[in-house]
Amino acid sequence: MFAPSAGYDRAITIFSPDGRLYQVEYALETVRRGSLAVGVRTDDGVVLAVEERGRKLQSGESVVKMFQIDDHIGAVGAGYIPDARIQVDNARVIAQSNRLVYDEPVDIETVAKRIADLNQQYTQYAGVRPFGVSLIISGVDENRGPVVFLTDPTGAYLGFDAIAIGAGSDQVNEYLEKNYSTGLSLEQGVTLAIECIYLVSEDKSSVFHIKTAVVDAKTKKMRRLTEDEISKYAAAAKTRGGDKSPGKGA
Amino acid sequence: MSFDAYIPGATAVGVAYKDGVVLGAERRITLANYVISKKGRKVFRMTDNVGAVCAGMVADMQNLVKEVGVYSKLKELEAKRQLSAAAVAKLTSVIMFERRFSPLLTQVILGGVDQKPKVWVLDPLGSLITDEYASVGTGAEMATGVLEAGYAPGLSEKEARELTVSSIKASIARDTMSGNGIDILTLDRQGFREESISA
Repeated sequence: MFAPSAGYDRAITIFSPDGRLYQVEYALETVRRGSLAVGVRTDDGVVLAVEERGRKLQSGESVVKMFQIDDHIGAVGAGYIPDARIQVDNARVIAQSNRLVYDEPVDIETVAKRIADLNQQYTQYAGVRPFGVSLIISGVDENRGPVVFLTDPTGAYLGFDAIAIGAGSDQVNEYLEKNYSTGLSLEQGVTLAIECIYLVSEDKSSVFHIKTAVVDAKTKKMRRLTEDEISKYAAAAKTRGGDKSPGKGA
Repeated sequence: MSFDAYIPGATAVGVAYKDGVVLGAERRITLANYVISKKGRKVFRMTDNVGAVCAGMVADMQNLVKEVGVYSKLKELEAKRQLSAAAVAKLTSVIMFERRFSPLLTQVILGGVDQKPKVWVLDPLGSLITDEYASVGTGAEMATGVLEAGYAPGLSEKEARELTVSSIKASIARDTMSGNGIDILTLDRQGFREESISA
């Protein structure tokens, strides 16, 4: 990945001789260094969770990495978060335009695809850089029920049952492969998402650095969990997961 | 026949009471002298906290209400809080005035509860006037007669609803472009309630 690029990483419209787009790969690296974001799908709804390592004196209420796109859609991002903010602005307009034209809540896959289309555009034009963020876009729609989609700087988008992005995501995705099952309840999904964060976080006891939201399949409305609720699930996560230090496995 | 004959008539009324607002309209939609629909909806839940009732071109009122709803939603998502009813009314006014040179041919009454319940009335160019009760449409003058005689500050919900219904009934009796029943939308701090009655 860090092999000499011989000048092919400046204008991103150019493929390198070995068929790579270096700027896009560098953008993916930005995502890999962002703090963890997790999305989990259950038949009762979807869960979004992020670790937000705030600065000292930062106002407790500000939530930076978790976004609401419409009543029934939320998103979390990892990577260069200002880019996430702009993508979410675009996603919000896409969602409302859909209501304006079709009188319907937009399908989550449609939002994911349009955001992915924008990402792709920024890999093909000179003078612009790719977005340095991956988004987990998740919610409940009439078409497919609860769904979780991932968009990334390459312009790809994929649906997942459960996915983690950001620092430590390789370890977390392995953990999810072992511990996710399709029969989970929404509460179990929340506990699982919080276990994922504790797996890689430096702080394995408090809850103020964990932000979580659900979109319940019954109400189809995104709801951020309160700190009290997160504490309750965090307690379950700690007992279920046991010791989470690296090297001790799941 | 001049184009004006093809603009549907209506009677739309809004009355603010102690705890909220009642909005009402009859249900007749006409194309000159032909009744296209006896069930046309002229009352709308425009946002989660503002109701609208309109008179005039049906396409214009439907699109206006949708547009205001959508722009309000975008603003609320950005600001992470609900827009006040007054802000939504102002937004409606701005959207209508943007079309100063090709106006939306509809008169609008908005209702919502901020500190107090309020009614706003807008003309096709978006003038924004707040009041305690209002009526618009071809049946407005007849409705106003009843509203003027029956309104007093601090009405109960039941009294406000009855006043709305009787004012629209008066218009239905004498305005040929108004008729075929009444739709009522009541809004208070707890939310919306709808009903339809025949008249």
